[in-house]
Amino acid sequence: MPSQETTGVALKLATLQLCGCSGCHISLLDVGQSLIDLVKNKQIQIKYSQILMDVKNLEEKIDILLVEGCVLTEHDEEILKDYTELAEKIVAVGSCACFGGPAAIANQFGRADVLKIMFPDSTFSLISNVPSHNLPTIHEFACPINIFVDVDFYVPGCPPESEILRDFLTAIVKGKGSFGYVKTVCDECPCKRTGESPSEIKRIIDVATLEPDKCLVEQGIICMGKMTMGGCGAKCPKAGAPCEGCRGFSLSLKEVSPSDAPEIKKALISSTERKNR
Amino acid sequence: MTKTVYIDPATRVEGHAKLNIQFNDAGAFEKVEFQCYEPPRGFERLFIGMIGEEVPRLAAKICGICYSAHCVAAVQAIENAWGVEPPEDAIKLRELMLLANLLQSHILHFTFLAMPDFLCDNPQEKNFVGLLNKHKELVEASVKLRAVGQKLTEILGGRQIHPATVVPGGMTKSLNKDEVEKITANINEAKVLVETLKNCAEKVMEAKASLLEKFGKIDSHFLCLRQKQHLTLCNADLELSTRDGRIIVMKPEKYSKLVRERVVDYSFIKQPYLDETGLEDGLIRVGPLARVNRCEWNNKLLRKFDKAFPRPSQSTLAYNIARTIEIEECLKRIEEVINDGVGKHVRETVKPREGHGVGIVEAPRGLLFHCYSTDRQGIVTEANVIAPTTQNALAIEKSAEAAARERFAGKAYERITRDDLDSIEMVVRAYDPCLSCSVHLVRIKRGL
Repeated sequence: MPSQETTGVALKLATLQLCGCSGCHISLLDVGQSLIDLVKNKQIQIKYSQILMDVKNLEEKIDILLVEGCVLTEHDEEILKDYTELAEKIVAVGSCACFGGPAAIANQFGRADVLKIMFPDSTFSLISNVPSHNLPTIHEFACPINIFVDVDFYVPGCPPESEILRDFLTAIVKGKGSFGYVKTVCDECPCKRTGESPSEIKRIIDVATLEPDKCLVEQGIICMGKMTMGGCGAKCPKAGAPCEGCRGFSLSLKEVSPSDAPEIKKALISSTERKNR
Repeated sequence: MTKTVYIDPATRVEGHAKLNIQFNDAGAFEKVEFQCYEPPRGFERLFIGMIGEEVPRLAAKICGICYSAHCVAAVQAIENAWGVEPPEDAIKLRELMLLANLLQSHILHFTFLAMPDFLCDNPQEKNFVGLLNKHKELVEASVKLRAVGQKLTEILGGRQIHPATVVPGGMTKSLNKDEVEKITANINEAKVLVETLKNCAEKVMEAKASLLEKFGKIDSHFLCLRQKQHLTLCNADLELSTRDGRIIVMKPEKYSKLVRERVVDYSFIKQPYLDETGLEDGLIRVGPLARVNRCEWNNKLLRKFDKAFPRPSQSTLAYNIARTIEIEECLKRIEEVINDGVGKHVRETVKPREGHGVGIVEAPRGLLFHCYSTDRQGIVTEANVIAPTTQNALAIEKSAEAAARERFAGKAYERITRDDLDSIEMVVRAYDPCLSCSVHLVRIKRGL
């Protein structure tokens, strides 16, 4: 990985959007003045970015390819493979590129089931009811990008906070790459914990006055903070909302099992027992 | 043989689309297809089986640009289904979220996506890097202004993108004194910064008056929420302004009676149109132009807009100027709501019940509908999302066609230039299409 700081040559960067919501691109833009400065000081040079510039096709070698979104269509797969050929390093940005994201949650239902809801009565092609004229084929499964190409760095989050992207860009310019987080969201969360287990699992709508500074899990709300990779500053639990695990499993977990969250396990059991009684 | 010229991909727009410009055997221009190849991610299927309180957070992830609009529309629909009235202070917080979202989205479009067409000459420079060379102050003011919107979203929603605090029954957090002070300071700063954008819009309006008025102009109906004395993004009636000048006010739920949809084989977007007038005359448009056409705000730029594009205006490129007017009105409204005061009671306990509910807001790009049915435990059994870009889909295609017709009149296929194609794309861009959102919409005819 060349360091821009030692070579003095601007790092050539491209951003590619596959199947996603553009949130990661917006978060990249939220880097704001620091991003503008990197461009202005010729530390990075953006060669391709469909949402921000008019270059229709990337046709030159680049240093870094930032990929947002999962692979859901033939077109996603082709363009990902083509652009990977041109790039020195591949970065999976956001939970869709890293893990599959919302589109991959739908994998469990089967794509036909999903599309049937969208296009219930249209009859355009013989094999399905989905518009298909000159359109890319939709894959059965939405997949993270590492199913198709080798990924050098992962920057998870839905989307990754702009601070995280800023730090990543700054590190890349210095020739450094990955920085994994061993800490969990819980490690970063200021909520008070007493160590007690909740007596039952509650729905967030049951509790009009959750105690704002107290751990959500201990109050009976399922919060994924304990298992989830930190680095986000525990923004959701701080705002009174449970962690939804968007950053994926913490690197500190060797194996993921319910024993990683004994409180949740215990409360689930007692909730089930209560229901059964 | 017929020939097709492709603009692929459409750039400086959100998501994946291309324009197929078709010419006949004789080489004369025939028509344009607006082809969206963004695949449906299946949110409508994902919602089914989820507990209602989890829907708003997942709904936000439909779009990385108008997340708060999806979040708020979804929670309104769930509350509507369960017969829940959230506390007044929660409604205020949600309105602030919609405003903050509109602020960042409009500035993103105005400066980063749209203005390069009007302020940069060289095709290679038509982007924010190109703008930086000649219009540094515009880019820097916009970066700061967007940050004002995003910081406000973070204060209200916990995060800058995909907010987490919206739940049926209210919000998981209110505003404390420090946060209110911070917002007030940011808005005061923003009121100064917005002058740069307004000046820019005025200059463009003077320099390119005829282009803005005529190019890509079509004749359509408009739909929006009834605008009050301030920019109104939620909690209002639906208003249809027809091409022949009638204004029809109705409850938002009536939408499904108004429109029919068409599915075309070349695009994943469905195309709704006004049922009463039929497909040919039934073009609908939503978004900034629809709202500004019907508003009575006290705004200096609006008075200039009126001279350039007498309202109701059908000028497609006027969308860009309408957006700037809304940016200023948005700041005014945020200030109004904050000054009005937001109390601490932002949440109530909620009991789910079996029901069907509709939520309607004005997203930055126009009307957004979310509809859900739930069983008695509050588990979603049916979901339907109608996004603004879907409603604009047919109009986008027709505007591009109008632009192409003007551009290619008497011009042979062989003589098409990059400049011609760029100009057609500029018309599409005026709508600020958001294609990730647009590939939704199901079952209009079965009702919302």
